Amino acid sequence: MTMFQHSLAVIAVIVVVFALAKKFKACTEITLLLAALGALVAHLILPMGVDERSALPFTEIIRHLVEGTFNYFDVCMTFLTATFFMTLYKETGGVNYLVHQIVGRFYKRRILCLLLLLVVMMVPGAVTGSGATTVLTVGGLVGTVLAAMGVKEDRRVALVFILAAMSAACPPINLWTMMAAAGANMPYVGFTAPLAILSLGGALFATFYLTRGTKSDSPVEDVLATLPQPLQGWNAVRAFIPFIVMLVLILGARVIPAYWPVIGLPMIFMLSAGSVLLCAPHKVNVLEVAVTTVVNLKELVGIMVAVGVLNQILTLTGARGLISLGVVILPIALLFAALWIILPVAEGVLQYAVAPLLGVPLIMLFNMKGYNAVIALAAWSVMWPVGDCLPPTAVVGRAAVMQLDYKGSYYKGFLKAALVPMLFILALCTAAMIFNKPLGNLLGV
Amino acid sequence: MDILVIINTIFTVLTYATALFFLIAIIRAFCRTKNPQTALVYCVIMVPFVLRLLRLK
Amino acid sequence: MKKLNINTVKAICVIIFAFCVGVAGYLFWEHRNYKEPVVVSEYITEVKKLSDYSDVVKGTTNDCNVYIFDSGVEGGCMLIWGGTHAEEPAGVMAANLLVENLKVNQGKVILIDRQNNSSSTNSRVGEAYPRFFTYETDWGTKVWRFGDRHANPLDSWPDPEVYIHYPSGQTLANVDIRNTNRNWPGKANGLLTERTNYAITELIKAEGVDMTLDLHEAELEYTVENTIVVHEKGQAVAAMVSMMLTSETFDVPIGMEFSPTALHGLSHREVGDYTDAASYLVEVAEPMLDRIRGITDEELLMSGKDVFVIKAGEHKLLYAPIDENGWPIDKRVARHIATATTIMEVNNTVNPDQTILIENIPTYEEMMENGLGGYYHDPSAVSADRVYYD
Repeated sequence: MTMFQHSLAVIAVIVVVFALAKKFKACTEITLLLAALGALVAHLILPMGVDERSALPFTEIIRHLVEGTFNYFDVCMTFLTATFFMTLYKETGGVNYLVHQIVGRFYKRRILCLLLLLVVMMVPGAVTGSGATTVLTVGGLVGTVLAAMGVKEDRRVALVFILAAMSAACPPINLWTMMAAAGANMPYVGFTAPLAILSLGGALFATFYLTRGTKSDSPVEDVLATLPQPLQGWNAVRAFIPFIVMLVLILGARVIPAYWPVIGLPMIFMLSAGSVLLCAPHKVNVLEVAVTTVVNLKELVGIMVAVGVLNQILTLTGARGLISLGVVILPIALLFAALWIILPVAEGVLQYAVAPLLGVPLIMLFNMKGYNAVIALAAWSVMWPVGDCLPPTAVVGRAAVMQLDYKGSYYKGFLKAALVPMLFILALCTAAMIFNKPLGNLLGV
Repeated sequence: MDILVIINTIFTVLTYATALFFLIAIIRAFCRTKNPQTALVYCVIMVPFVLRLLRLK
Repeated sequence: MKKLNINTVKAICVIIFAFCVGVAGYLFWEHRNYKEPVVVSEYITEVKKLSDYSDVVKGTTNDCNVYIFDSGVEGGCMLIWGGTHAEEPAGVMAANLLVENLKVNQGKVILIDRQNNSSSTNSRVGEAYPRFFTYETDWGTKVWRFGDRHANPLDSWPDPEVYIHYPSGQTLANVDIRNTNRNWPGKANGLLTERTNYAITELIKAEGVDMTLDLHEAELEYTVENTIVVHEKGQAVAAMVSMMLTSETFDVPIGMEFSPTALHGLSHREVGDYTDAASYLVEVAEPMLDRIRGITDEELLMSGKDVFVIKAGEHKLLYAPIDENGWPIDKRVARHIATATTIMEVNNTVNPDQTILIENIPTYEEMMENGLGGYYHDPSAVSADRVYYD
């Protein structure tokens, strides 16, 4: 058996174990863990090709499994703290207050209201690089406003998802670009314009496409009456201070980096959460809010941890290399034609790990062919988050469904509604990738 | 020691405290759950938190 | 009954959890605390700590050993370091081999084996790396830690949401704040890696270093491969070194590239810009670093043999040749050492006032013929004052 056959067999075992575990109603997190274990067993049993191989003791197997859980540890910390911040804000009544203010002031000015919501959605993801953070912080609030504006449930969730995905792609922070660029030793320079054009283009299209046909013709008072009533004691100053704290902590590092300490996203959200406690007129049990946060996020965080383990085992067994190799040896025309589907699907399986897995070899391939790798990487980095609603992980899609308390069908309702904007974004990015050279010349990158 | 280094150290300690805070929340959620699959998922989620707090990884 | 079931399940979960955390935790601890013995050459003058040059790293994991070989005869001064990236073992092994054998007859040579020691105490998550790599010698097995590209989060946590390089203001991926080849010339009050580079910059100034050489390895898919990247100050020397080694010594040519002026934080740019030294960085092929590699283990790391990487080569996707013989560690280390010694030789003719004369270092051909085992010494067979730990 050659190493090609070995790694291919490992991938086949992963698919089989995945299907079997799903058939026996295992949850996605456990299914991924079982797939990783199946891959390990296959790796240990099957011949590994002609080259000599090192022994893999039992203790090292345990070490690899445990090490894999660290793959997205910092991302999980960010998810937990961001959600904790917003849950605290919600539980103390801040979200209700803000929703009332937005609907009361902007309900009749529909386009302005939609653009405002777009900005509100884009900011958290743009500064953190995480679509899930966007959904977990402002997704519920925006969803409530959209409901008040008469946007149907399917389209509401679809819009929150697309805007969250595009917020993650939006500069200044695009984690896929940063990870792939770092892996290929490219500076994170020149990406702002292409990322902004592609992500904002996608976000604007989705906003107006998914809210088409809705009218803001009910009296504002009637709409406000349908919303949960805000608790007494909230005012604009109290409501905005936590967000001002968050923005100051994030922007401080941009404005005076030499004098600003390294705070890290988890502490930025925890300090913002602290300011919620100081500003809120109503007190809550903080530990209970943390437990609620953990319970709500168990799937999201569980999947990230399990995907980390699977990624480690894919690498150990050569399966990751085989997938990566399989993509880069495709004929270039086929690659242009297929990346719009390969990238989101891979994102659905591996999350941020796709950036080093596929991004780095692709950058090197594009450099070798003389293409503009900055434009191409920007295009891929906007395509990747589109896959965040695809199984098995579907991290942002699940978060949107959870935050908006969506009861419809995930595939026939939510995904179907999101399909046209998703295809529009993928087409836009594919066009940018194909015309990478003229676009690069135009943008001066 | 430079003031910025001290502040950075304080944020490091606070980040560990945050990890501990969420570990406690995960343990509480683990104790409360009645679903065997969820219990296993909580255990897996706890792994990096425990090893980081023990300063082993 | 149902309650009993869930409690039983929970108990089993906790037992599995404790077992896995216990086993892996011990292995992580062992990796982080393993000390690499170094038998210093009998001709060494002094072993200092990096904190002797700047106390910003005092008491930290990155307060590394600084091995000084001063002939006492006026001449040039060269600083060579390995271990910037602990997943690139050839640099560490080459620096280590020099420390164990070098004799300097004119000028001064300063060596650091583990420039970012912290990065070697942590295996890179998601890459399924082995924890250690080994080399068989006449006296037994010599063991080194195999690590990450970035410093250990246990020494530097959290990362910023985005890393803004000091002093250029260039934006980089957040994890690169823990990459010591992204934060030159360093920052006295920054994170550990920034302080490490600040301390080395102080060393370069204090010792009057004329040349620095940063030893690296690179994936075959990467454009900067089997080459010397050099600051403007060292271009004449690097061009000649490249020509000499390519025509007379190496089977695979070594190139020469100018350090890009717009790319900040790298040693070949910032050391040249912020000190009087001419800065060189040398790369050699390491198939273990390729994302398209197959099964990941120590064997691949040391032999450099991988059929997936060969397949990529058949599709013209690589910047270095590879066949079934791979890129063995002997060849990678030998190339680094030959490059270092040739830079000294050529610089002696280009800048005679910076002359450095050395001996007792094997030639490229000797290392390729004999292997490296004979050049590492048994720590149990020498007096304790010759054994240091990295």
